[in-house]
Amino acid sequence: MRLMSPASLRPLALAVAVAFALTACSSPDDGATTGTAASSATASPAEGPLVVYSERKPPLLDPILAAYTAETGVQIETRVDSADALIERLAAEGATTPADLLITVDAGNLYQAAERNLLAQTRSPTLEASVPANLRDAQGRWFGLSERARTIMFAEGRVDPATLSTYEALAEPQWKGKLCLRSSAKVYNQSLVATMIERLGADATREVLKGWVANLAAPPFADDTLLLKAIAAGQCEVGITNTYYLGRLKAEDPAFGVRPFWPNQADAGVHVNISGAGVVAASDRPEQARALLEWLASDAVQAKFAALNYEYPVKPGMTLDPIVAAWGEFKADPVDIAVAGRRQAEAVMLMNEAGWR
Amino acid sequence: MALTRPGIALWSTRGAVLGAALLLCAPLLFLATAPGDVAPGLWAHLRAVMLPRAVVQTLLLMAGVGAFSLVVGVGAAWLVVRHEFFGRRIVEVLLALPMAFPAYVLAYAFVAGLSFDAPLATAWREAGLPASAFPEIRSIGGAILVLGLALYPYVYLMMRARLLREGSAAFDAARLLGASRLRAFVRVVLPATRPAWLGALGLVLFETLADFGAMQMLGRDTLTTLVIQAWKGLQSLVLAAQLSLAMLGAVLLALLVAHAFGATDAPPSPELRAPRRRRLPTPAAAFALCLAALPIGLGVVFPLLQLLRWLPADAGAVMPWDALRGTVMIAGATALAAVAIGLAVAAARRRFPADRWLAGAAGAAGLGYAVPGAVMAIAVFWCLLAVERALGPLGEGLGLSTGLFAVVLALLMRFQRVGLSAAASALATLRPTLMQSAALLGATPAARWWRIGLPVLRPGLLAAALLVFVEAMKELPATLMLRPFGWDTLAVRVYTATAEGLWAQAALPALMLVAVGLLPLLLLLRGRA
Repeated sequence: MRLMSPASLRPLALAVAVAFALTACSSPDDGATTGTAASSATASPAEGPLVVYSERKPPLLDPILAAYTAETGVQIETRVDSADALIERLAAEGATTPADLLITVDAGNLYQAAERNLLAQTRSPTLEASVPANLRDAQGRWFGLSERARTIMFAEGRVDPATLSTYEALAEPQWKGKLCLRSSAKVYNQSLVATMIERLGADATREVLKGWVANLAAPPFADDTLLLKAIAAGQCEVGITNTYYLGRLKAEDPAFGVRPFWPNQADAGVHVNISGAGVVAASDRPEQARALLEWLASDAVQAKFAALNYEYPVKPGMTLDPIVAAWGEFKADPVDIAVAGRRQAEAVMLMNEAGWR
Repeated sequence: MALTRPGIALWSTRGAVLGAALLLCAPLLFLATAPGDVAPGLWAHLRAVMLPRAVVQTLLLMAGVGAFSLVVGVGAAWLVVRHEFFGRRIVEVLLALPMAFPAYVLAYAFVAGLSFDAPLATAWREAGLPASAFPEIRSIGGAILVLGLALYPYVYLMMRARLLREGSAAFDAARLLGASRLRAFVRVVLPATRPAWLGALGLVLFETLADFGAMQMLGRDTLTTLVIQAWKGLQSLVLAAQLSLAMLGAVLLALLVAHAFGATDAPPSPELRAPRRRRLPTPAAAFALCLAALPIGLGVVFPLLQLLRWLPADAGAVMPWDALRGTVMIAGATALAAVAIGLAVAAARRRFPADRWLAGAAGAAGLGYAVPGAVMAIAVFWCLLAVERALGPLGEGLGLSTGLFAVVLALLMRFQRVGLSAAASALATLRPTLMQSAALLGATPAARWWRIGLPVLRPGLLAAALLVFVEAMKELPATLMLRPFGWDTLAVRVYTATAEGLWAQAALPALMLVAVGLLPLLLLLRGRA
């Protein structure tokens, strides 16, 4: 079921608030009556707007969805929350969910949603042609929409890029007191470590992580932007972040003194994750949800979707934002990105054992 | 208070209070129904690696934040209630203001303001001081400072309200009898005001235990961050639910122990005259201002300057009016409901002080405080969905889980303890003799409450409502998950911007949130509460 538009709900909600305040102290039944008032104006599902559950935040999504509405007339409503909360909501709602499309900013979460049968198998030649096979689910339950590279960042002028080679090499003693990392609680780091476990095995990965922790110049940061600023200011020389955070800083200040280095070019390649989406299994409008998904993967939108946040389009051959293009091309890790979800818990445990807070 | 059928009165009171407690507790029981099993090895890993650190960090934090809040809060309250000095009225307001900042905004202001590239640290290095000696805010000490600043206003506000009524005359008497100021304060004032500072300390400790946003920003591993990590990192909501229930059990145990040691409200002895303020001589007044400037400078001026610095030039173009409306509606409904429930429970307990059922129910109604907000929100959602489904087609029409009811219920569970303790201390000012006189004069119970009870209680209840409002407006995880479709609050706006590191976009809603919090705090301080 779906509520009516927020604007028309407001006077009603005021009444609800007052009624609730008056009745709340007696019993659950009184509260239930309140709910009736709020939902009596339910719109019929087939006519209401398309409902998107999104972990991608409004500043990076709303302009795109507004363009879709302008182009097609299809109204869209979004519920924004962390992916984990949205997935639990989807699971609890089951067949009664109002959601039609789930958007996340990490493949691990899409993998979890698919594992729990919350996403529908979508067959679409358009999507299969646009999105490379390693950045989508083999059964068509989710598709990457933009690519996010998590790479080595170094202080321009203070670090000779020739001394850099691989993620693993940052564990060597020459970087003692020079490395900065983000908190291990962030899913981006968990995904990076998950792919390392897949490639190197658990024991070798643990050794690398211990080396990283031993090389830390400061306690792990809560956010990539703070980390990049710490490199620029000289608190550390190198770090690992997503490239789009640097894109934003470069847009503000072209002289910002940090550059990306593309590691592991001789072997696995740069770790890339995705921001992606899948059609909700219990959606009552899977066709419309698929149409939105295909539109998001189309040429015109791909460039815009990625450029809004200095990310990389998943579709090869798109024009890049000039700031992003200046960093040059790189070989991305072709590993099936579902690994990020499969090995996430294992990655978290390894990071804890290595003492990475 | 003549009652012809005491049995019926007791049982109907018990029924109502137990009903309220059940409403606020039942969702927590749904944590036990989390689907799935804990993967083998997870508990072992938790016990060996994560749990010991989280327990130690949490205990250190609670001890540190508790001590900080008591010293600053009680000291500040004593300063403004008993002394007169230049600027006292402004200082009195400013001292409460850190409360208007959500702890995670305060934490970010400190992390950014004390980061290596910020002016402070740069000046430090340019002065030739070693970079490694610059204070690291992302440490246990930093976390105690940030949470202490965010939470001491609880102690300050409750202690100030209590001191305005009590403790002053006893202090003066002790001084006349030759006790030193310190001795009179420690031996007379502190015991007399124990319900106020002890109640506030309880709230501070609960808030410390439950904080997630600030602790994540400051890189602390506490029990609450562990619960969230179990869910989101280890991908085990069952484990998170079990950990939450274990935390709940520990809190329950602590409450029972506190109860056994007699940490209950002492009977008040309200003084009718306003406390005498001692005018401070100029040097002492200057010293007092400097002392007060510390928490004000760190807890108000510093974060405010940070937010203003992030504010983009064109910020005024899109004012988040809709989020402001959402904040006022959701926090307002929560505050009203919390006071209504708090008053009903406190009145019931006063009517039947020896009844264990009522005591137990009152304690249970505030338990939601101990469960991390994000996990509690899921439990509430499960519970309401289960009720809807049990009711069949009727339940689907009710929309319990999707309407305003869900988010208000979750916020009530989270902050009912604030409403309860504030309502109880308000009720303590209503002397039974007053109501008994009215009864003797033939007033009906309704008339007694309407014409005497409510007017006497109004300042205290207003204070309770305002406190809950300020807390509810800052809450994030439960509001984020349970708000009705299309509703946003200012806290949600701050989150959606900061989660992507877009602090410039977060500055305006954050400033507006502080402004919204300022109004109730001003009301709170102007009232004779």
